[in-house]
Amino acid sequence: MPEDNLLQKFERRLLELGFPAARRQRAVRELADHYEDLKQSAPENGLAAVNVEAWVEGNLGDPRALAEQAVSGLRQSSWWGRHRIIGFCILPLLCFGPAWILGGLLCGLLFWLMEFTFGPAAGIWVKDIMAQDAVARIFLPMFGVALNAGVIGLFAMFFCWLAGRSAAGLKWAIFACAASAIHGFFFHVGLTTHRLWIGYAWKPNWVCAMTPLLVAGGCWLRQRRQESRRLATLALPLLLVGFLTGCASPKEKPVSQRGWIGGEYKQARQQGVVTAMSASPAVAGCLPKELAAKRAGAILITALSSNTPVATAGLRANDLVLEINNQPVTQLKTFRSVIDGCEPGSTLAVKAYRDGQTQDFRVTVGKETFRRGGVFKIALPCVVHDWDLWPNPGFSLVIVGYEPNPGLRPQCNNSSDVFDEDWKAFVGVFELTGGKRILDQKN
Amino acid sequence: MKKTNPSFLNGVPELLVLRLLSDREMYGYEIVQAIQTETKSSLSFGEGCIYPYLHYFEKEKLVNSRRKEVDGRNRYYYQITPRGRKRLKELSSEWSRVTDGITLLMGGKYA
Repeated sequence: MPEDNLLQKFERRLLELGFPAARRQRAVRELADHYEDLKQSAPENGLAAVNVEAWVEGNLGDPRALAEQAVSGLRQSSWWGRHRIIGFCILPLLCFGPAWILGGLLCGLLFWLMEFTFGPAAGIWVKDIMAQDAVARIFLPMFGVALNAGVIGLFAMFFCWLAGRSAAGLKWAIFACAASAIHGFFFHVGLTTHRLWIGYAWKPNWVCAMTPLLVAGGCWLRQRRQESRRLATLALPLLLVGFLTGCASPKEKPVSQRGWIGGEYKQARQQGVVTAMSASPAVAGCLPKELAAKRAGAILITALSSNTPVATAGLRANDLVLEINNQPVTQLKTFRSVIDGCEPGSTLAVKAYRDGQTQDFRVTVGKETFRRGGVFKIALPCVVHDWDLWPNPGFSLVIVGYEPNPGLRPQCNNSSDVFDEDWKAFVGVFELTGGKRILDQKN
Repeated sequence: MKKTNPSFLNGVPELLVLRLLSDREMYGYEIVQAIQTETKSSLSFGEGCIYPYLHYFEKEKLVNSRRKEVDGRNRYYYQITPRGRKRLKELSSEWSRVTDGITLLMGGKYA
């Protein structure tokens, strides 16, 4: 039927241009009604039956042009339709962080409300569940993947919805998803027993990168299922495979290695005014008087796991390291640099002080593999930094600051998520950290 | 800064539709017929063009619409809103000002 042709052309063009479905149905219905009215009025205008349809179509206008006019009108009536480059290419890149802050604050508020309603016991109950071994090992990583995919997926879907609502079209929805995917490639949501953090790192996050592309594929399939079914059925499984590969998170290849002896250390100094005022986490004012008379400091072993090279050599927590490779050590950084420079498998001569006696040990140096990287974090909940105006390499003015690592390093303890910070700079809730992600430690 | 007359060029469909709807509610075909009758067919345009304008006015809250079934067909009737009446007043005065100016010029030494 000719009227079907005109209306079909009109509807198809609206579909191609991404006109929202509800509005599309209404526009087609109105045009069909107008068509019928014109057709009924044709005899009054003295038209022969054979000419009616051509006359009606001529009066209504070109259906493609009408569709384009309808789309243009809708685009002009919304901010997203008028500013498509900003809305669908730039804002997805900029808005994800603030969206997460809002989401995090909302979660915090819900948690607070839960504690407020059911008492502090509810919060303790949730924390106890989170701390359970099975939950921490199995469910938290699964929940972490779901959180990564869910958050960025919803974000991409929100932009697709906006593109549909403002008649911006499929092209702009795909741009928004691509921008979200680029963003997601570097974006990480980390969930551990006591911590939820979001940030950026060079380590690719395939889950966050693939999810928006899956959303884009879904939009494409939805709109073009008639014309491009074959292409869509090929593309979607490929994206799905990418997503699942991302979920599997293949282990990275280590790129660097250095000497490792294990343990946690602090610089030991004689207790005094300067030690008390500096309040550095890397300094302990515990140097015995008999040593303080001879030397400026030593290295205190603060914690030691049993399976580390230092423990195997016989050293214990609270021992003071005086010399390493026959060179006196008083600074934590010097101590660290000597160990880092040792070849794995080589032997290190260590002189330590224990119970008023000096003892010699021989430590077989192990190997630590790591990858250099940086992390950009938005602290949740807001971390309050202390004032630190003491003239040391770092400083803190509460909301702005720079903190170089004084030599403290975490023990890995077979965990795959240990980041050894070299330095940290922060402005408000934004924090940039440079350092090394420890991948493995071996005797 | 000198005032320009963008409404003179862009606001004509708006003025016509709002003026017609200020008397009573109408549907698309009815509006088109009214324009052609009232202007003695001096304005010609593709009749389908009226709907994008009506949808735009509705989005701008100048008109409201309601769906009504007539002879088994769904018809959308449009009615002017208070905001639309205010806009009509602005457009009418702008139109009068412009046409007065043009009339003066056309009736003067260039007549």
